[in-house]
Amino acid sequence: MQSVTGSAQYEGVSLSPGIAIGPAFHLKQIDLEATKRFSFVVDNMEAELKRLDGAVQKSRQQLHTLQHAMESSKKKEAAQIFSAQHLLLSDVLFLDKVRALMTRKRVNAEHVLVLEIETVKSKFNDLHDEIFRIKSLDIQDVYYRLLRNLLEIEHVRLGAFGRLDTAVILVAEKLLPSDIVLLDKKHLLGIVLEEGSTVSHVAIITKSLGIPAITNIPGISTMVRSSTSLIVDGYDAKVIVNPSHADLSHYKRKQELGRRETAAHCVRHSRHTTDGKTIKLEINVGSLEDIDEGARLGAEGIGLLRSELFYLSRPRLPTIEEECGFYREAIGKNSGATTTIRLLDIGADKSPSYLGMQREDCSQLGTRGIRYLLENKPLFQSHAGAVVRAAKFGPIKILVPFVSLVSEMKETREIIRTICRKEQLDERTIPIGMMVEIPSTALSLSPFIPYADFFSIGTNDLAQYLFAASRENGKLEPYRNQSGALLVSLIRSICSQVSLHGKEVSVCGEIAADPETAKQLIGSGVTTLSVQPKSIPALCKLVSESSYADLKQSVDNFFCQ
Amino acid sequence: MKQKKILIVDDDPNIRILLSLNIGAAGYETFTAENGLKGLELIKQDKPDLIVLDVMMPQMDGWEICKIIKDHSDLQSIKILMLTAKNAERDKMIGRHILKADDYMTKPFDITELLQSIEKLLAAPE
Repeated sequence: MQSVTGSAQYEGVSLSPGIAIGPAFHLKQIDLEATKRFSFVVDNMEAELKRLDGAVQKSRQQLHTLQHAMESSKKKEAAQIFSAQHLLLSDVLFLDKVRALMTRKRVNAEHVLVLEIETVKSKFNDLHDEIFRIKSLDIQDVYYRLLRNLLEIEHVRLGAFGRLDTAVILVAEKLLPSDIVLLDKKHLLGIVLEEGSTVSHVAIITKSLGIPAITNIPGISTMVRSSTSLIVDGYDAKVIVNPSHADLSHYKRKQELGRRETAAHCVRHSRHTTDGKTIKLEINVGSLEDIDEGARLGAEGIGLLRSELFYLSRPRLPTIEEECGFYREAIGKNSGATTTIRLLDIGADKSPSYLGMQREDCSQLGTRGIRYLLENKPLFQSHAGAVVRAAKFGPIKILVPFVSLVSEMKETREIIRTICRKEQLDERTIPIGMMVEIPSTALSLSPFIPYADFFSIGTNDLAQYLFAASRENGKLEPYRNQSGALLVSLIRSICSQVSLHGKEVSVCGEIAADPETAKQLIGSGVTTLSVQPKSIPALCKLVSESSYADLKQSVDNFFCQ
Repeated sequence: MKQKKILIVDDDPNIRILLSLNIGAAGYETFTAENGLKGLELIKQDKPDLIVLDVMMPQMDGWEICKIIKDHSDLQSIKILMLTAKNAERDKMIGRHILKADDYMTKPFDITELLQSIEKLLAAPE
């Protein structure tokens, strides 16, 4: 089929709603047909069988790793796919048949395996049942992985998709269940497929991630070249190839409208649970663009503005005016909602070169956060000066990082009070809270309560220190996640200590983005969740559909058993 | 007629020198890369007409480069001649029929045969 040169429109079936506009990327599966046509006589069958066993082992390991990676990033549906495929690879009957045929025919493993996959595939497809067809896709997926491992080419599977640096709309004939890992890519704007079911894994995952996707457009992957401009309309199940200027402006408006509707839905529903408990949903800001996105998606403020972002993005120490300008811009974008500015959390892995910080052996356990600021008073004075001055442009709260001593809060409050007086600001209008991220602080919070107006739990660091597993080391993820229940239990204890004093507790770690964990946090007494903007819509829905009493009961039952 | 450009991607410096001299003497413009990543960078930057591509290299191997080029609509017309020590039938099937290299030769190789293959591939229609 010829590639499309002019503008063209195709209709298909929607897998996931939304509008995506961007360049196409044609993902081609590795063509394994040749393994059917070529067979090689094997002299040493023992070695060949060993090679098959090695590839089975390798495939199992990969599936195991993928399952854990998905579990760690709280993608339960995707984790289940890999766990089911791991089980499929334990199908002794299938592999025994492959071994027996290899030995009888004295030919290579790939050739026998690919023919057996074809047999199983056709048996399932003959059943003409959607569920069996999906099952057949799982079988193909897992045995094609085995085949690629036998050929030692699994690493080339993604081709250029694994090395993209721009966001694209993925175009493919079909996606197999394990291609779901592709959907983890932050560069994925939308998906267009030639074939795929509305009840497939891909449909489930794209919907949950909010990625617009369309299927049933035969020949699209040959009609579209990589980098061709595309529009995916997941509402009306349409794809437009080489859109005109008029199409582009129409769909940009539709995209914006869709975003606003999502935000409006959030604003209408997010504030209360079904039994009237108010839960605030705020955003953690990684860049100033996040603030616009957060506002569109219905966030109610900034729960965490990391001031070190500004320091780390520049070659020299900022002046008070420059730094204050940064906060002023953020506050302006936040349109009247509260901006929580966390004081510089430098040290550990974050150290601007111009500060000449000394390297420490265990920097994560060293002079970071408020410890560093109190040791470097001139820097602290100028930094706090910029933060306090920002309060003239909109409501702010100040968050003190890495607090482990009551004296640190006392001294910080005193410094801020002095600056407020100098700036002629009423200190009572700037609440000062503390990060709870060190186990000793979390376990004995009472002495800190008089000196903090609110508390924000940094779960990433708290888990790192609680389980003695560095957050920088991906391999240690299982250690950090070893007991979510323990972390929730600690958070529950923090909430019960703080609630007696009528103060707020928020969670600003990414665990709050996971719906199941968010339910436990709300049930434990957390009143504000601060997450990445993209997680806001799902949390809005969760809050508006949950009963606080039920969530609390469920957490109480769990911990009182 | 415009001089055809040939990129040599091989981590063995002796092979790179040997191929550059001989392919250059045959009237082609040559340039080289010592690993897959560098090779891919040069492919995107200078778009050669043909690549003489080793398989076993650090950072990114020849299999991966071949897949990336043959998948990419703007690059797939570049001819790929795999030149590798991998001489098993299975490897030839992978290179030639699964990853769609245009020719597959094994080391040690005959330079005359290699030049003939280059000439043939560049004469073929895209």
